[in-house]
Amino acid sequence: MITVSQLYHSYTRDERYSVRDVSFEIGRGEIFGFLGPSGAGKSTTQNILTGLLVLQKGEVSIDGVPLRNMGSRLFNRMGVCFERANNYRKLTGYENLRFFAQMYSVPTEDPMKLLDSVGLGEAAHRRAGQYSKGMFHRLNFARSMINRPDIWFLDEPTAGLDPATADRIKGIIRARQQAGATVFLTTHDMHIADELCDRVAFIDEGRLVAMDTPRALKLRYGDRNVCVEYVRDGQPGRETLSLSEDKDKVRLREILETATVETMHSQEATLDRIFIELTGKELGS
Amino acid sequence: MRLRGLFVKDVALMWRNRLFAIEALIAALMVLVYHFALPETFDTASTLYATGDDALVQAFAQAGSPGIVVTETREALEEAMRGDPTSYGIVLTMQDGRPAVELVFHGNEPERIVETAMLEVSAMLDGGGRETAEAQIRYVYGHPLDHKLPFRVTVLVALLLTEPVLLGFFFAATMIFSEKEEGTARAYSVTPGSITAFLGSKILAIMLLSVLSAVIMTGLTVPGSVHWGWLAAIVVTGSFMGSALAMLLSAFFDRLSAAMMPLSVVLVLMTLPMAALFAPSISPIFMRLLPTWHQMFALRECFFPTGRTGVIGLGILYPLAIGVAAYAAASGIFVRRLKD
Repeated sequence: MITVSQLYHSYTRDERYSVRDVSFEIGRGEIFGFLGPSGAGKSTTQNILTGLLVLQKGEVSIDGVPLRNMGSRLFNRMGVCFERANNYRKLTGYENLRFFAQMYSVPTEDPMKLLDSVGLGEAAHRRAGQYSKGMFHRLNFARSMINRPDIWFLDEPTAGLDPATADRIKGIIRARQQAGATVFLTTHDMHIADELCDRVAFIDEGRLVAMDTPRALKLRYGDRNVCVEYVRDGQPGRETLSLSEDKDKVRLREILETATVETMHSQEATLDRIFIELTGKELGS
Repeated sequence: MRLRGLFVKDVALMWRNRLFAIEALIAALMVLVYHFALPETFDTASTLYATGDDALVQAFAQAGSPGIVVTETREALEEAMRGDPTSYGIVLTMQDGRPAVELVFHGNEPERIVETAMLEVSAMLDGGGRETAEAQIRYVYGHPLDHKLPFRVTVLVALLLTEPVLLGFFFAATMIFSEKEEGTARAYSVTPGSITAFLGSKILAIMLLSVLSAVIMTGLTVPGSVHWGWLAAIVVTGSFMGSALAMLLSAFFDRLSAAMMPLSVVLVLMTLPMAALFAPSISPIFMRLLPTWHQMFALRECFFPTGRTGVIGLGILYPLAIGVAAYAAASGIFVRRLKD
């Protein structure tokens, strides 16, 4: 579906690359997470793929067609949800979507249905400038679906949203994936990436440092530990034991047989921990 | 469909940003200024030196304003004029039993002062009796007008120039920076819509506003004495040029605050030719190269037709050519700047 090969980009048009030698492929209907801290090169990569930045060096193709040759065909197939919500504040939510619908030469969604789907039905005829930050962001998200995109770029789609609304948005993303959309998800939130993505790529200082399914990354880089809280002879106890060390396995069995276990949690590595292990940096930095 | 959508959106945004209200208010203020603040005529305070046939000169001096200075000879008249660059002269003689009038100018006067002087002399001769009213007037330089030149209509010309060109310039910059600062230009750039349509719809919306403004201002002041077709063409091309120039400058900057300096410089340059309407001696060559200079005289020709369609043609085609070039450059630069 999307093939990126040896992508480079320099804002200063010299050897100081913001993105260097980045290559990956995204399959049709896949949710591909692009994770990294601020300034790592996530947005630069996404901007090249969406045509907002000139392709300086490298190859990008969609269904085998080079990005350079796509023209408006690409934009008719593509939806982009920017991290910074950008709607017309003086237009209503409905007018915003209706305006953008008119810009496409493909069948588009009914603006009211879209607004309903993101919980903005009742506010459809209020000016976007009167929306709360979360509503404004949801309008932005709704706009990115107006042309029924089969290539969907989402930049921090749940940033700043309350948990219930974030769940609603995640549900829509999954439903679109089921309908065949390919999703390029840029985020530094490992929870949403872990929850939604079929595969993730870590980018740091413009380079890809790891790429795989979240499960495979956890298995490869994580310590398989379990944390047990128990009570024995009236005294509480807490131990973290490895599931791969023989002596810890024996100790765990002993606790299970001789004490009252109150809680027990497996402690596989999180994507955050793996990123720190690979780069020495935190994802949210 | 796409351009219509953009146009409807831009008109809605202009309406909600109160640009229509601002424009209507300014037009109404200008109408009030025209009716209640501007004098009917404007005294240019130029000295008129007169010489020639004694009886005729005396009769002329008695019929004219107190600014007339009588000299003994034509040489004395020219000598006196050389020391006074804002003056003009009149030589009155009898030829074949009828008075002949020769107007004397320095040769570098703007057209307006020539026209004003001729009108003043005509008025004075008309007021002197049947014999002089029938006299043939010979013009050394200039082109005769067939009616008086009311000062406040001259001001209206300046106001009409302000409306389409200068407010179009200001509104276009405002609209572009609003799109940039809200990020909506970026949102638009990932749709199949073209930048030429994006900019073009704004130009059309501003043209609409300019035409409405010109109709209000002219319709409520001197509706019967203007060539509406030419006026519409000058206003539309002026609006196009002003908007396109603002878009070209705006393409280089991300924020209005950063663009204020170049926008202000261009705005002041475009305004300069208006000085020549009120102080004709201010007319350096660089000012005559500015499109607003030609628009100004084309607008004046709409109100005071002297049959010089070339003036109107230049006042339409020159801004149109600059507008087309600025629009093409703005479209190209806008695309590049969005992708850098």
